[in-house]
Amino acid sequence: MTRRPSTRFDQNRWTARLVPALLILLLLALVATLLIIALSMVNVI
Amino acid sequence: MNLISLLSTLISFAFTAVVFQRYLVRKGPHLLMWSIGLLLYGLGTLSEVLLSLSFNPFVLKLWYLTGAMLTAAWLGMGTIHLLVRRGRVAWGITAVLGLISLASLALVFAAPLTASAGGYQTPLAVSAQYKDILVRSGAMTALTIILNIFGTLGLVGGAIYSAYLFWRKQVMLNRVLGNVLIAAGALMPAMAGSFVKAGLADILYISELIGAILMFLGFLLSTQKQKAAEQVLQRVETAR
Repeated sequence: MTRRPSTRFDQNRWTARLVPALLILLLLALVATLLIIALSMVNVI
Repeated sequence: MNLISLLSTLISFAFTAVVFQRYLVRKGPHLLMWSIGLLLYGLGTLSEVLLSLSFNPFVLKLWYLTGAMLTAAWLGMGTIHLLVRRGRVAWGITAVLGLISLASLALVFAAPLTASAGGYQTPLAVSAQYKDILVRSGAMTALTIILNIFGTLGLVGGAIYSAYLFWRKQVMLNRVLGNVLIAAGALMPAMAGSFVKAGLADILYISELIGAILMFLGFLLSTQKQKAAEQVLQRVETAR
């Protein structure tokens, strides 16, 4: 029986190092977008 | 002719075909919901192409129903099926979304048009003109907003959460980055739609194109076999 190759990755790879910053940026953009949609509901904008 | 929307249409229909093909093989309900969402995405951008050629009331209503109301919600529904382990809960939400979608369809196609329809200008963006043409009832506007909040939260929030889970476990970097691309791509038209609602600059067409490309790339990266995905990432890293 052959072992499946590991899917683990090194968090020091530069593509991996980008991830935390990207996730925070995306989260902020998501909150901003939802806020604009919600504000348009109450006719603030 | 609106070439940007034409390109978005071709990409989103190709994306739909890839996802639906995967659904036929794997049978995951999330793939079916995403296929529906992507089909709606393509119908929305196709409507923009048609409306850039000539005005048609049916196409304007199809654009509003698919692009403004239903696309985000059905894409988000797919992600909810992927993340919510209890199938009954996910199917319950799907049933509610199905009913709301039918109600939306009835409301949009029953909505009257104003006399401004006669002055529709094909070179201008439909998103800059629809407010003066389509009479939107309070229920229609409320449903549009609720569906968009639900869909954006489901799709973008779900992709960010998935990326975080894989990141924390330090497995499948391709899925981490694939989900980052999906979240970024989904945010593009959602943000542009919010700008349109707020009366800001109209960047809807280009954001739809970038959104479709990023989501497609993200899906392909996430679903590649591990060895092939690793080769892609190695190429990206050495090209830096």
